[in-house]
Amino acid sequence: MASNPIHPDLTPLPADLGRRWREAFPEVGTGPVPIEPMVSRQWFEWERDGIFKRCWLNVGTIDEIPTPGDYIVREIHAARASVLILRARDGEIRAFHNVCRHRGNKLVWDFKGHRRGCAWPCRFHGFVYDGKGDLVFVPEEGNFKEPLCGKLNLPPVALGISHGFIFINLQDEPEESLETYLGPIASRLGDYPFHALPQRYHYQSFQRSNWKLGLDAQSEVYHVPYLHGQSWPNLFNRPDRPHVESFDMQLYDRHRYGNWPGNPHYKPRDIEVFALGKYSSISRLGQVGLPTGPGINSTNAPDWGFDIVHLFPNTNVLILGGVWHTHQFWPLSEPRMLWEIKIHMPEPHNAGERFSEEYGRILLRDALREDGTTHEHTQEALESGAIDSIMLQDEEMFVRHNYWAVEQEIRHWRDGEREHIG
Amino acid sequence: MLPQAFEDLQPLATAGWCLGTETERVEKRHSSSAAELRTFYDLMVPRLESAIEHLNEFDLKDFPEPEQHLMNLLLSMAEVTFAVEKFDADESRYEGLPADRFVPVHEHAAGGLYTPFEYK
Repeated sequence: MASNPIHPDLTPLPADLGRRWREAFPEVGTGPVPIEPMVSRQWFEWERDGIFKRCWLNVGTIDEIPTPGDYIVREIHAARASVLILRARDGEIRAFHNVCRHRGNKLVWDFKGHRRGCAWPCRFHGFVYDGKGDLVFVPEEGNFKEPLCGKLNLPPVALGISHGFIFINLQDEPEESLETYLGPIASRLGDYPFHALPQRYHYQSFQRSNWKLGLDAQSEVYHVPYLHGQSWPNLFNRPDRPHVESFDMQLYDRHRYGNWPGNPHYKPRDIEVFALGKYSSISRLGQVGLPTGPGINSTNAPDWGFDIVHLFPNTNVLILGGVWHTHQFWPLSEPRMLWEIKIHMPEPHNAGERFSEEYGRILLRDALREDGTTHEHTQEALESGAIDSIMLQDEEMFVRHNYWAVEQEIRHWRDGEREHIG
Repeated sequence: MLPQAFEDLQPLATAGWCLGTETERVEKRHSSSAAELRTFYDLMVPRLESAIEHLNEFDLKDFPEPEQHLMNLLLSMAEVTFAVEKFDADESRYEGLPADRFVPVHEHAAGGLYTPFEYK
C-alpha cells in the first residue's frame, strides 16, 4: 500500500472512499431511508413483539455480579418485564422474572445489590427464594391450604453468557441459542481484555426520542467535527482533513463491526497536557500494551482510534485503547427511550490518575450530552411529517444497516422470511 | 480546610468548590457565572501540578481531611476546565442536555433510575 506522502504514519485514504461500503454490502440498498420506523406506533409494537420479546438482549457482564449473593435488575420496559439476574451460592448466574409467587409483588426493588446468605426475601410478606429460584421459606406456611416451599419457584428467564457478556431472552424457550444468535460477531468479544477493566461509571438518560435515533448517533463519526466541534476539536480526525473515515466495516444479518481512526498528531493543549498525558492511567496501560486479538483493530492500523462491536438490537460496545463503553438504547414507547452508558477503565492508582480519569470522562460525558439534544430535536422534527425519508452517505452505513436489520428481523418474525448479507 | 501548602486556594474552598460528588460538581459548574469559572481556572492552573504531586504521596482511598478537600477541588477543576477551555467559560454556548438529565447512577445506591412501564 502506498504510504501517505503528507504523513507517513497515517493509513492512506482509500481510493474508493465514498462508495466502498455500498459496493461491499449492496444487500442493504442505497436509497433514502423512510422515517416511519422512527415515529410510528406500529413499528414500536412490531419491535416490541418481534425483537425485544424474541432476541437475546445484553444486560451486563459477569463482572457486575462477581460474588454469590450479588444481583442486578434489568427492566425491559417494552416487554413490561423486570428481570432479576443473580449469582447463586453455587456460583451459577441465573435470571428470573422479578415477581413473587405469593401475590405478585416485585421481589427486588432496586437495580443492583447483594443479598446476604444468597437468599432473596420479599419485602411484602417475607417469602424467601434461593439462587436457584426455589421458594425456601414462607412465614406462617401452615396457614396455606398446602405447603408452598419446594413447590413454587421464581419464573425463570433464559440466560446465556458469551465471553463474559450476559444475555437474556424473554421467550419461554428461545428459538435459537445465544451462540447461533450472535454468530461470527461473538469471537470479537474474546479479542479484548474487557474484564480486566472495571466498570467505573454508569449513566442513564430518559429521552423523548425513538431508541433507534440514539443508536444512530453513536453509529457514525460524520457529526463529530460539527456537533462536537468545540468539545472535541481534532480528537479523531486526521491532520490533513477535518472528517473521520472508517478503516473497516463488517455487516452481518443482525450485528455489525466497525474500526475507526484516531489522530496520532493530536496536540493536547493546556490542562490536557497533564490530564491525557503525564498522569493518565491509560498512558500507563499504553506502556504495558493491551493484548488484543485480530477481531479488534481489524486492519491493524497504527493510527487506530476505536472499534464498535454492535450487538443487535440495541447495544454498541465501543472499544478504545484502555477504555471501553457500552451504549444501550431501551425502547419505552415510540417517542421515548432509556439511554444507558457503562464506562470501563483502569482503577486509578493515585490522585493524578483520578484527576486524569475525571477529565477524560467529562470530555466524553459532555459530548454525549450534545448527542442527547439532537435525539430529541430530531424526534420532534420527524414527527411533524415535513419529510418522509433521510439521506445517508457511505460512511453512515451503520445507520442504514440499523434500519435494514430491524426491518429484516420483523419480516423474519412476522412473515417467516428475511434477506441475508452475503 | 486545605493542606497548609495550598492555603492560597482557600478562596475556592470558601466559594464551595470542595464537592464530593459528580452531581454536585456539575451542578455548581453550570450555575456559576463566566467570571466565577474563570477565577477558579486562573487560580488553579499554576497550582495543578503541585497539587497532584502532593496528593500522589497519599493513599487515594484514605486521604486526611485537608487532602480530601484538595482532591475534590481537583475534581471540580476537571468540570471547570471543560467549560473554560472548550466554551470560553460561556456556558450559554453549550447546547448539550442539562446535567440533571444525564444522570450519574454510579452515585445512586439503587444502581439505576426507575420509570413505570407505560406506552406514552
